[in-house]
Amino acid sequence: MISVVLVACAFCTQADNAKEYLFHSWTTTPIIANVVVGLPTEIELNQVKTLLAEVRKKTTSSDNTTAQKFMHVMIAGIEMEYEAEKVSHCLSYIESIDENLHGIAGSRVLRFQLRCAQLQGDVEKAQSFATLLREFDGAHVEDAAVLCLYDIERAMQENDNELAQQLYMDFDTLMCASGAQYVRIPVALGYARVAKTQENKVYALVRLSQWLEEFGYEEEAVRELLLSWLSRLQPRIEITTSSVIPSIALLAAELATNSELDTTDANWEEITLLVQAQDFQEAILLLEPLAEAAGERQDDAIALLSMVRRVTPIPLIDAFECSRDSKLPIAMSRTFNSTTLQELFQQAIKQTHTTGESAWLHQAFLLLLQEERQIDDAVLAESFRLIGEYTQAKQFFVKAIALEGESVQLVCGLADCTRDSKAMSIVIQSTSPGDTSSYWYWLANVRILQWYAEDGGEPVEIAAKINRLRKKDASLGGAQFISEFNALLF
Amino acid sequence: MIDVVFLLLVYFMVATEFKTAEESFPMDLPLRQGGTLAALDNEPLVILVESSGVQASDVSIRLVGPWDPVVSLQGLSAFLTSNQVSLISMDGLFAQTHPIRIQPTVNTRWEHAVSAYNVVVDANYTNITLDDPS
Repeated sequence: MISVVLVACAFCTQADNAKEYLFHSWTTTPIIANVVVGLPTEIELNQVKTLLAEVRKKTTSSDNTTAQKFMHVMIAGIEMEYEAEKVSHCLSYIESIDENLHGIAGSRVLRFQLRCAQLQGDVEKAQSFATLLREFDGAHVEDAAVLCLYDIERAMQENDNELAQQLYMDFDTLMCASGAQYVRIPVALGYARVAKTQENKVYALVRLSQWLEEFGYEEEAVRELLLSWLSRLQPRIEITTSSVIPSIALLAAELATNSELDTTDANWEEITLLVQAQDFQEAILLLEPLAEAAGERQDDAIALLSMVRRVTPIPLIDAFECSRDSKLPIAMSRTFNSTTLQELFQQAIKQTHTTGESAWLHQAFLLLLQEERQIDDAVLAESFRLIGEYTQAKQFFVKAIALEGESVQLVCGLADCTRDSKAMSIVIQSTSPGDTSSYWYWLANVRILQWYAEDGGEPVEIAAKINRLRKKDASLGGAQFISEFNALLF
Repeated sequence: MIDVVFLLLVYFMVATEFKTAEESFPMDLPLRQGGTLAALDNEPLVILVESSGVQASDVSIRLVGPWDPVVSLQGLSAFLTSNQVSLISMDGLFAQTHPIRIQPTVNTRWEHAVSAYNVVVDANYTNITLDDPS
């Protein structure tokens, strides 16, 4: 009996590890998104193959849980983008799941069903899955991207390029607003993937580069990025001033006037490759000496270094000047743009969720919130909630839910501000104590118990509930929650 | 002299105003009725009951959840009694009012399901549901 339990626990841990390993890479780098949505480079494709091989090692084929089947669907769903025979594998794994999946898991399975139907050329099935995905409540942004590209492809098939362009622009705006920056480049490349004409292929890429310039990125750095994206297109696009595509002819003219672009510079080539492969730390190491030394590449290096530093995460601790006495943050170390500021917010939120509230983080939030920049409503809402400003947090939660739909984070945050125990119960049912959603599971449980106690609930019921929760995790969600649970017992 | 003193006494008796003591007035405030008590998210304890024969002892019990394994009616009785929380013993897992569902299978004999029900009643639990066979 004990051995059966141990084996079951081992399977459970393996499945969770594999899921976390895969989804961490999926949502923190654009590599997988480039494979499943956009146009991957050879390097990216190999990286994904290696990653999936590692994920497969972490999963076990003999386990038959829904989580395990879901992992197989994810792996086959990615692989089928470059190995056609995996479509049937993906479909058989999906059929083996006999539970209704909700949230991101549900939208992800629907999105793979849509892709399977597309890859098999089954128009009717594709249409029905597209409808289901469109009606799905709370679809993940990357799954919504697949649906958007499906709509774009259909518009293009009907020669309605205006509609296709409008769909792309609307979705790009949505991605900006929802903080899903990592999907923007893959979606622009995905637009090129579904487009049939050369002019259509470059449309989204040129629009994205224009947005970057308007946003404040250096012109030359953006041009480098655009060239790297265009190099992914098959067949290759000739960048000449005589090109029939106006934006490409303009790009060629700009390149011709910029004599500093010297393709014979081997060091520069290596840097470009590193930037393309998103290896920003290595690129910075090579760029720094080039930017300091006087040479024909100095200006390029300064521009690219500036751009790379903007997209490379800055450690939270480096973003603040701290008091010598109290060690608490007293001012921002410098001015940050919106993207970096948003990353800093997210780091602070993640740290608070992991280690609990502290005076340092509270002060950091106050300083970040003083910065007047374009930040996601969801991020602002959660930040205000964590420092106890429930009235302001509530306003931002309501706006974020209206814009992005209901997610566990938003529903739980709003429920915390409005003391909504029913919503908290729904959060408990949508999360679990041992995976990446555990913070919300324990927060919902502790809040319901606190509100129950405040309303004069039975102490024995509270003690019993806490004892039952201990059966799920003896640490009751970790240091940030255990003290709150213990306070309820005395 | 005595006349003057007498007159002064009469004057002060008439002019003096004694301060009345503060009184407390009871108020009949209504009992708290507005607002609903935040409800705990109490998942019911599900007890699966299966019959392996026709004898009273031919019954097997299984608990759904992360609980210590229980196989017999005696074990169930011990589990429920030892894990009942009270003001004296706060180590238990279930309050008397915790929802408990007894779930027989289609092959479970009626007397076995009722036996399980009776064990739960004997353990002083009050919120019990006997599910349809599944």
